[in-house]
Amino acid sequence: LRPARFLELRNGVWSRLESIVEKAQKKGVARLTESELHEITRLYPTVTVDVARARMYGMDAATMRRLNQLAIGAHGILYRRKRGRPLSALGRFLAYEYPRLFRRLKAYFLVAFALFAVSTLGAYASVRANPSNAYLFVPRGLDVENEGEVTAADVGERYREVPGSYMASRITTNNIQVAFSAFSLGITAGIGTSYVLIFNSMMLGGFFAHFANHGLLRVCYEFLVPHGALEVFAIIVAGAAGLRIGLSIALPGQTTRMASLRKGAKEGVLLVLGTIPMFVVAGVIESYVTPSYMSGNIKILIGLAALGVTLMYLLFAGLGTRSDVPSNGVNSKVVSSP
Amino acid sequence: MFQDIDTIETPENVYLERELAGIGSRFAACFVDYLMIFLMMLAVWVIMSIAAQEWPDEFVQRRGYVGYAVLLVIQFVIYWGYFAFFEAKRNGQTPGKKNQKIRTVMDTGGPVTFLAVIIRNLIRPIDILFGPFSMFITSKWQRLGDLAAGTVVVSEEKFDYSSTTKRAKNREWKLETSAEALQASGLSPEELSILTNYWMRRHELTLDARQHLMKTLIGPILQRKGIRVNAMPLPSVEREVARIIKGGTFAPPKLQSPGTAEPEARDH
Repeated sequence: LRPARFLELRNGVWSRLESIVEKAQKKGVARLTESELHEITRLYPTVTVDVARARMYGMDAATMRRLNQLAIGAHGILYRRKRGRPLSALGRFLAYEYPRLFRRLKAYFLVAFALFAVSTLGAYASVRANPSNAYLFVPRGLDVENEGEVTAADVGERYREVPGSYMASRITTNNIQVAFSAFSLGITAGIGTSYVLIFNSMMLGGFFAHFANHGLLRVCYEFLVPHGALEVFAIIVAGAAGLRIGLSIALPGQTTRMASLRKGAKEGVLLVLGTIPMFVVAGVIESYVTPSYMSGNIKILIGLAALGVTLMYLLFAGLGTRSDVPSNGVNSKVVSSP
Repeated sequence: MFQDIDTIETPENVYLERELAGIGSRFAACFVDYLMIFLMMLAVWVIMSIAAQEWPDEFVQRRGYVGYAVLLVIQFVIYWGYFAFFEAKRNGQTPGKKNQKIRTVMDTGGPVTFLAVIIRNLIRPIDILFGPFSMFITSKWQRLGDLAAGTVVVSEEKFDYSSTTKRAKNREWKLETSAEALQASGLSPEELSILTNYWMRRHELTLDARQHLMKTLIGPILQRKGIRVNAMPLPSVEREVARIIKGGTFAPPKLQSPGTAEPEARDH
């Protein structure tokens, strides 16, 4: 077979496969007819052989490029993962995949929690020992020094100045951004994540100590715990997600660093995505419960209850083996083959 | 050109090659996308401020602030969702990437997965700082988000040599890749490719370079076809080249010259 004859013979096949691949890429594989599907599985292997043959003949650059693009396009259509319906995937994720992931990664959570606890307590102790240290952690705008007697009612008034809907969206989006950055900074081998965690918890510790110095610890509880309990918890989870990436780079174990990073990123991103609902709930609480006129104890109770329910969900949802193997096989990792 | 080839191995044990997107087109795509984001946010902002004037009660006064709340959420969704939405929905192509004819794909082959899209775009803000650095030290022009997600960005441009020189015509380019021309020439595809490339790009070369190529590259090919190059001046040889690549089906082209190199052509 001479190269010229090869081009002549195969050109029709290539054009045909090109048109099918283009249709699949533009309109989706679902829109291909049955005969087109059969055709693509039949033609693809012959085109991969053509790639090898064209290479042997030393065909010109344009033909090589055309063949490679065609073969890769068809390859992408044939070897893809089965896709479930997005809604059922989301349902599965929330029903048991996420809590299981959390339990599998609880070591990272504990490390993140330890970072949080140590730096909070450190900042707290430092400000208690030396009140002027407070300005290392607390922005001056929040200063209570010169306001004389500050009561719970005053802090409540400040909160009530801003309407709930606006505050909810502002706080929630801001918190989610912090969580995202805690996750993505994990790629700096966890250093950036640790920085975000330490920075935020030192601010919290300094804040508490500053209020305690003025005998306002009770106010602090009433206005931070209702939403803060869940919020801080979610930030720590996001930190755990970042550490998952960071440690996958720093300590790859038996695999290559790159493979380890990929696995770490996959698990980490799911862990951080699951914090979004937590932040939404915390944001709603912060906007509607925290500034309300309910008694402080009830508010604190609501905050602790939100955290408790979240913890119960993460620790106990999806326990047992029954739902481990989904019956419809949507979750299977098997690829379709020609 | 800063372009490189990525190789994937198929289950059929054939190596397929694809062209990685260059750093320039990736920056250009990124620029287009951020411009889109900016314009979308501007549009939302304009609509919102008109709405605030129309219905001040709902938007500005204490009762509502609903307008601001919605504005914030929309901006958040645009900023974090723009890239992820388009890459997930349009198979790895944001409008900017479509503009630059590049696409995000998995480094193992297939189309980009949902999870990979989320990972690479959550890391995007960090890559504004570290991305270029990472792209220069990785072998496949991957930014940090690409490394974590296991993706590469490939070029899908149908590259056409005719664009590199104004004088080369599309017709000549098609000749090289057509079966008829190859058949008629009786040469191997590589040889024909060399001749066609020489013919198309001859005006970019200096006269010395052309003389040199005649001796070292073109001459030996022509000699196989029984043309004695040594005895002929350059323009005649080039005319022989033209005759071969056009497979004898076209009349020899007129060697009319916009440049300085051609006047000798008339002598012959």
